[in-house]
Amino acid sequence: MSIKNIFKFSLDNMSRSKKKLAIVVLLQVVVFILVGQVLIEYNKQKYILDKCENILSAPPEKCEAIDFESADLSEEKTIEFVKEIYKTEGLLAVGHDCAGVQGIVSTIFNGELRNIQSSNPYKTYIEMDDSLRCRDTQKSLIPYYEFDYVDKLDISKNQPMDTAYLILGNAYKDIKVGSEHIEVLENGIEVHFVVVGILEKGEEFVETKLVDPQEIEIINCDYEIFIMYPMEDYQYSRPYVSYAIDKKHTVEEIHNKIIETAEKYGLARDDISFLNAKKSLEIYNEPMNYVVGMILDIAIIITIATVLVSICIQSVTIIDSMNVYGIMYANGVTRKDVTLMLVLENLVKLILSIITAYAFARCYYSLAFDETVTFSNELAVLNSIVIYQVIGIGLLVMVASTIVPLIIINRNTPSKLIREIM
Amino acid sequence: MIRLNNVTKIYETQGIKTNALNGISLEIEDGEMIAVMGPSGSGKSTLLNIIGCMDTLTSGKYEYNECEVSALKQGQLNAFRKKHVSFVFQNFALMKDYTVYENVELPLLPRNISKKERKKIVNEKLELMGISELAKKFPTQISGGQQQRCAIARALVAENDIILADEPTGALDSKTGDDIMEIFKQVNKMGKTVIIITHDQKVAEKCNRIIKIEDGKIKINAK
Ligand SMILES: Nc1ncnc2c1ncn2[C@@H]1O[C@H](COP(=O)(O)OP(=O)(O)O)[C@@H](O)[C@H]1O
Ligand SMILES: [Mg+2]
Repeated sequence: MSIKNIFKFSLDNMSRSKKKLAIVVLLQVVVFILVGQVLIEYNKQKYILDKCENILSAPPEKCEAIDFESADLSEEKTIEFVKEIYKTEGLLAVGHDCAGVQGIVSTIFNGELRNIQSSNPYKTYIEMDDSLRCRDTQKSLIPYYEFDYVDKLDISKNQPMDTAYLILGNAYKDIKVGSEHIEVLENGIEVHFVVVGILEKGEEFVETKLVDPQEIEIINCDYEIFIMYPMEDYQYSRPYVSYAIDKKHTVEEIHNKIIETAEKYGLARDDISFLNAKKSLEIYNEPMNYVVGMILDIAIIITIATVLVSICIQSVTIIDSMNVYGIMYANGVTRKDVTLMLVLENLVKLILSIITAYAFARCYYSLAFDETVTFSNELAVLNSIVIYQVIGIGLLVMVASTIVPLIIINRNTPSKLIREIM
Repeated sequence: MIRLNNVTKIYETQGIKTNALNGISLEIEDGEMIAVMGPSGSGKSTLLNIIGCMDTLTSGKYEYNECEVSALKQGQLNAFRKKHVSFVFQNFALMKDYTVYENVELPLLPRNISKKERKKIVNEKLELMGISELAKKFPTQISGGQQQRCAIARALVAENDIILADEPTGALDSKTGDDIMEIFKQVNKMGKTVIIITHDQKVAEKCNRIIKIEDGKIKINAK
């Protein structure tokens, strides 16, 4: 039979039993969305994990974080101390977060930096819930956010603890006003924001600007290190400061300086501790590996379940119309034709399902995340990978749900198939 | 010419063997019209299925003209069926989701005939069967006799040389059955070999030859 006729026949066949088609497509849509969600999460975690492992293969010597063991950050003296840390000579790329971005600290360079004034952090503000906030950032997932005007904001009044206060570290080379960043919170919501100003030493923040998302360029960061806190250690209210150390200074030297500063502000020696990037990554890696493994397991289970369910549906559909294949065989349709027919039918179902699932996912995201939907470049890459992964799984489903009915059909002689109606 | 030589067919289901055909030897000339009779379960349908390559034989030899059909593989059997055989069944074997027109069109699809040509052929056969006005109806919307006419039209569009009919009048009242038999006679006159399974002596008498089967063996083979 010519492909054209096979195609016509398959389409006919499907359009005659729209209910069955709808059920199969709907089921596949649900499953593809589920698998897609799991895969998105998996890819994201795997991406971070890979990065960690990459860093671990050549761990940065001079990247550290300060862990505020027992220091009370709502206290004035601690806040003053945190502010003072930035001014420590020999510190580069200082990042600071006191809100609960689980497990992830900020980024730190390990190369030469331009346009960076050490201990002069870039501050980014975001409007949330009608109040202006400054937020932490997690490099690598980057787009934009629309901003309102804010006049003469005095950050010294913005205490770290009452906002999600963050300094986008000097970790960014060539950081510019207008460059955008995104933070992915634990609940998956992305907070997008933009660099609205760069402070010189001792300067205060001036104003934010409304930024047209279209005009924003994405900053490229060619150096980055995550300092990870072990998850079980990292509490919501436990802030930290992370930094890299200048070539000219030794680790001990910096430690001593920071401890000195701490003592100056009335903190005890054991109120703070230093966490080495390598060590923190190692501690972080282990549970992460477990989590990533678990997510992958879930994805595999869902995939296997999908394959099985669609095999069942297909088989039931086929058994339901066995005699049709008998009639076809009796009228000169060959086995090859039947095979192609099934492949085409399942391919059409697959395409319908994937398009529907994709459209649904897009709608869902645009509803759930409103104007912040536009994906960052790296996130977009991850998400486009998900599409391919889902298509791959879809093809697997298609092959399985073609082969099994074919076996069922071809195990019977045409005479037996046609007798199904007799 | 169809030539069967000592053909046997043994079905095996769950370890139980059934000798459906027990050494059948038979020759059928091109253009013959044959009635196959015999009690239920005697192997009539099996014989027809083997002739029509809907089933394979267990032992013996089946030749059609120069071709040794019993030596063909599954793919070749499909091709043989496509080229030589058309069927008419007691229960009509129409696709219920397809219209009369589409059912009749079915054998033309694997034969890669253009849409225009298909339309011409189908309409011609529908007219021949006197069911042109039913073209857009579905099998469930027409009577048994009309369904069987539709099935015969489908058997005819392929222009194959052998028409195999398994109790084509079995589900019809006798008046309609007579009409259908008239159609088969016409078909036979077109030069096609027609083999009809029937329980009805009256139907059988319309054929050139009657073959009676019992327990998978030919009991009577008479003109
Ligand atoms: N597919 C099959 N599997 C097992 N036994 C079968 C099968 N088809 C037919 N038979 C058996 O073969 C014998 C002949 O059947 P059949 O040719 O249908 O008889 P008839 O058409 O004369 O009534 C019967 O005993 C029947 O039960
Ligand atoms: Mg029978």
